Amino acid sequence: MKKLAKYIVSHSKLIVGMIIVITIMFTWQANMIEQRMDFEDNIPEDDPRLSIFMELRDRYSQEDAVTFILTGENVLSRESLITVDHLTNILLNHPQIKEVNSLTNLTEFAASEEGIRSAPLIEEIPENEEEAKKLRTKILSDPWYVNRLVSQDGQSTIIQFQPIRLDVFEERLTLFEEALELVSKNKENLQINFAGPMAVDYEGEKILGEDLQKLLPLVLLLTLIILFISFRSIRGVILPVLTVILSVIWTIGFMALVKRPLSTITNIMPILLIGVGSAYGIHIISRYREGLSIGLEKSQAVRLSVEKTGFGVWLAAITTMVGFGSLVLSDFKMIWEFGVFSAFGVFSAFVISVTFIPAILNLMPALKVKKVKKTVRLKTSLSPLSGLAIHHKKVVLVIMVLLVLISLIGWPRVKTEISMTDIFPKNSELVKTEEIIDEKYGGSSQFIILTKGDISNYEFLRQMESFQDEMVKLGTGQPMSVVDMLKRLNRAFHEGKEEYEALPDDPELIPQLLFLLEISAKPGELEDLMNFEQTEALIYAPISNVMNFGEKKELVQKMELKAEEIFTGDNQAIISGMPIAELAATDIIDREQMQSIFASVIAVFIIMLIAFRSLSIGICCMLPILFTIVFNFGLMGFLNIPLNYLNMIIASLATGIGIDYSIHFYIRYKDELKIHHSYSKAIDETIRTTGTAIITNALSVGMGFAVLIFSNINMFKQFGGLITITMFVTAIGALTILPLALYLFLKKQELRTGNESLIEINLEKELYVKAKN
Amino acid sequence: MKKKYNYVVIILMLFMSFCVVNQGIAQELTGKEIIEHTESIETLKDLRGSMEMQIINKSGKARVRELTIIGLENEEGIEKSLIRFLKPSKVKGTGFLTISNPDGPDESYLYLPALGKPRRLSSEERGGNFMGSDFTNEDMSSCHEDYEHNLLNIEEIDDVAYYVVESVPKTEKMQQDVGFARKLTWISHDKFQVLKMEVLDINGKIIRILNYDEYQEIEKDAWIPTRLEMATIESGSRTILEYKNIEVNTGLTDDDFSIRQLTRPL
Repeated sequence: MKKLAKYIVSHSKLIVGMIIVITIMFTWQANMIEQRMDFEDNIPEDDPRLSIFMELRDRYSQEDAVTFILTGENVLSRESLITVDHLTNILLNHPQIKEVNSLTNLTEFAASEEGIRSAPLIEEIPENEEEAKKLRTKILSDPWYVNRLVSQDGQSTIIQFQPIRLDVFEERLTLFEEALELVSKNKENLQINFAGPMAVDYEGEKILGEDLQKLLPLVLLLTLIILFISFRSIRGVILPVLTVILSVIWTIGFMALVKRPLSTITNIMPILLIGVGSAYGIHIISRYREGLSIGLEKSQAVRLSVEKTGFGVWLAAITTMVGFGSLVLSDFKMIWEFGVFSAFGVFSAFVISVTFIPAILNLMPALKVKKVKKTVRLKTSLSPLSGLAIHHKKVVLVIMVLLVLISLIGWPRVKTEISMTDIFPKNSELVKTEEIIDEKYGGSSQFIILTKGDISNYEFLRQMESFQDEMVKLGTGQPMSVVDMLKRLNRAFHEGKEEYEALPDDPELIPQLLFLLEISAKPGELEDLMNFEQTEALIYAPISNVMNFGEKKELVQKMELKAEEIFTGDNQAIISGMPIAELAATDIIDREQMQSIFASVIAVFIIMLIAFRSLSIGICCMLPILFTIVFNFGLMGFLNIPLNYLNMIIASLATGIGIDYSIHFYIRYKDELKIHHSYSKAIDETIRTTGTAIITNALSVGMGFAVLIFSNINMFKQFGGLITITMFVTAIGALTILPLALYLFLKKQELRTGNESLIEINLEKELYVKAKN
Repeated sequence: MKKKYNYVVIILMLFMSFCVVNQGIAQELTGKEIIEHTESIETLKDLRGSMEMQIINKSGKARVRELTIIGLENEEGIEKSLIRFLKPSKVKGTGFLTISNPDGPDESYLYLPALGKPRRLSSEERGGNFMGSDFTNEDMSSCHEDYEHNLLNIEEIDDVAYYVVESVPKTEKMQQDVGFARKLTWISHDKFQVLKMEVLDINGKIIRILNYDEYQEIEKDAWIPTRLEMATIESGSRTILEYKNIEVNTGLTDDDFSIRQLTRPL
């Protein structure tokens, strides 16, 4: 640190120049960053349920379908049918659309006067309203169409399209946009709503972008205000903010360089860096001002700031990096990336703070600092805390123990949930559409049940059939599988009589009907329903996308029990689909939550042990953090805030940021102890000086996150609120719990002299003595 | 009247197309004339044989079907055909009987052994697929008058000169019905044998490729391909048709194309 301090003072211009060059390079890269909100991209594939889901998705590419819902007074009128037909053809003509399903292009097996035929349901659009009426009666009386393609009331119908496989996220968004434009232009009198995974991605992307544009400037503004209040100097505001801006540029540049897009989670990183990154600068500037206030010259004050805070900031940066970095253990790609890139961001902020800021300070004229005023102001604002820590240790202990106990009651109440409404407001168009689909078509999400057995075997098909019946009883929408196709075909072979819409009684007829189905289709066309070898069949069943998570979980459990009961022998059914992927993801969150708490706490603890070479100091410094983590979960439990893949990172953030407070506090306390040789005086002095810096930092970090409360995205709101509270709790903890812990754990000897650790402050006495003289 | 197409007529067409009359051809041929030269043989009255159909999906797994086939064009110009499936064994006996009538709608019957009696089928879509294979009904039919044929150039492949003929549906409506924008056919200069056909979409992208192979001379100067392989580009699947034991003019009569024959146990 000493060498660095000297070097910075002697080579200030070179350092500023280098930082600027690096920043220009990263800015150039950062321009190429991509934005992405893709749940599936985030799915870890080593979970068996998720790997089946992904495999089904790849094999049958069902999950990409986009559903347009057309609503009008009567969608089966001649006029509406013309529109539906027109829209179907327009979509079909799009080179990236593989398949379109709508009322007007549906082909089916049916019995007719001419014989059995496989032909469009609506061969020609009815020529007059009279004919349209007949068609309407026919369609609405057939359960095959009602609630699948047309709503019971005949007021809405669905056009669904399947894109060709598009691996690039942006291409999918563009396709969706184009399709939406085509449909909106040609919808005539019908009203259009849309749903499906692509629509969710599209809307998510939009809402995410708007949100950030709205929130980031607000965060910066708030940070500026807080900084100005604490420093009352332009420089004290500009430099930390500049540090943050540069570190954000470096990080985004780095992400673009390694070709990773901004995700839902990495999107909040700038806000995080504003809080965390500005702290390093604040500490440097604080020390610099202090140096000036005790009468040091500019370059001496700069050297002091680097030498004295350098180690603290360095240790704080390392622990924060480790705390955030522990997220790399996550199986979620988004969280893994967040861990890596936020650690990089912290590293950048640290490097810039200890080089760029002192260099600039050295190049600029000295600040004018009034000597006494600052200390007085701080004493009045923080003296209650200081009094609490020194004179009311028992009160602190009792409050802490009580809060821990209460939190421990709340913690088990925390539920893990992932839901669409995490991102989309309940009154958003998309959620409303979901509700329409729920009501009329059973839902826009779907279960995919992979059944295994011999499809030409009568028994197996009967098992599929009874499982489908059970699913409906349990509350899914109308399922669809090869069983339904065979029933339909059987009916066609029996003059279209309704009672024959059932599996044929004759087991020998089944393979022959199946064969007929096979030779009536294009190769691969039936692979949505069964595999080529006919040993696996799929059942699709719509399910609400906005269903209460607990209910969904219960439904899945019941379905699993039924599946086990119904499918016997070698036959089996595996329940998959988006709802299962979500459940699996929540299980991983559950598992990883504890893992990430342990990983970050233990990693940070080890660093503390190495740095301070004392078990008791290590434990003391960790206590405020452990308290905060427990408090946070207690709060989530009582406020009914679910754990999801965003707020599962709070524990790691609290550890990474919170440990800084402990470190700064302890280092200052040790310095003060060397001067005052008294626990009470040292604590009092520490709270007045470093304590202020800690509170200022907690304020700026907390306020940065508090801005998220104004987000449109539910998940961000909760996260912002929680982390704001967490920051304050950690900061207050560092100023109350840490002194108490030091008092309780350290031997009386250490309390008077401080322990001998790595931190050797060589310049200190010399400088202080010199200053006082 | 809407033109009707059904499975069996198409099978017949497959057999009877691409036979060659290669004598006395003038040097300067138009696209249309070249295509016409590959049309059916005047002397062909009936034929019988068997066929193996292999449908291979993109992962290389194959589904094999075996069927027997007989066809006849009687004196009134009515085309009749009968297909019976031998494999897979669970569907053995399943059959199609088709009687095409130049003046009226086709008659077509399906027989599923488990159902006991045959059912009448109504006609097929023009762009539909043939027996669940990669072949579409339209690719194989030879309604040359529906297309505009242009000779694009003459290409040499393995020392044989081939005419490259482009066939474009005459109307936009036709184009929509058949599901493609144009097809290119390579026809050998000397024997008028078709080597391959490429089916293209509106953007000029190849949708399907059909290769003709193993030509067999069934009559003097009349050749038919006994191995056809059709690949669908997007789905990655392909179908191989192989004809075996083909005999022509064996003296089949109308009686061989009756409901009784369709339901006769195999």
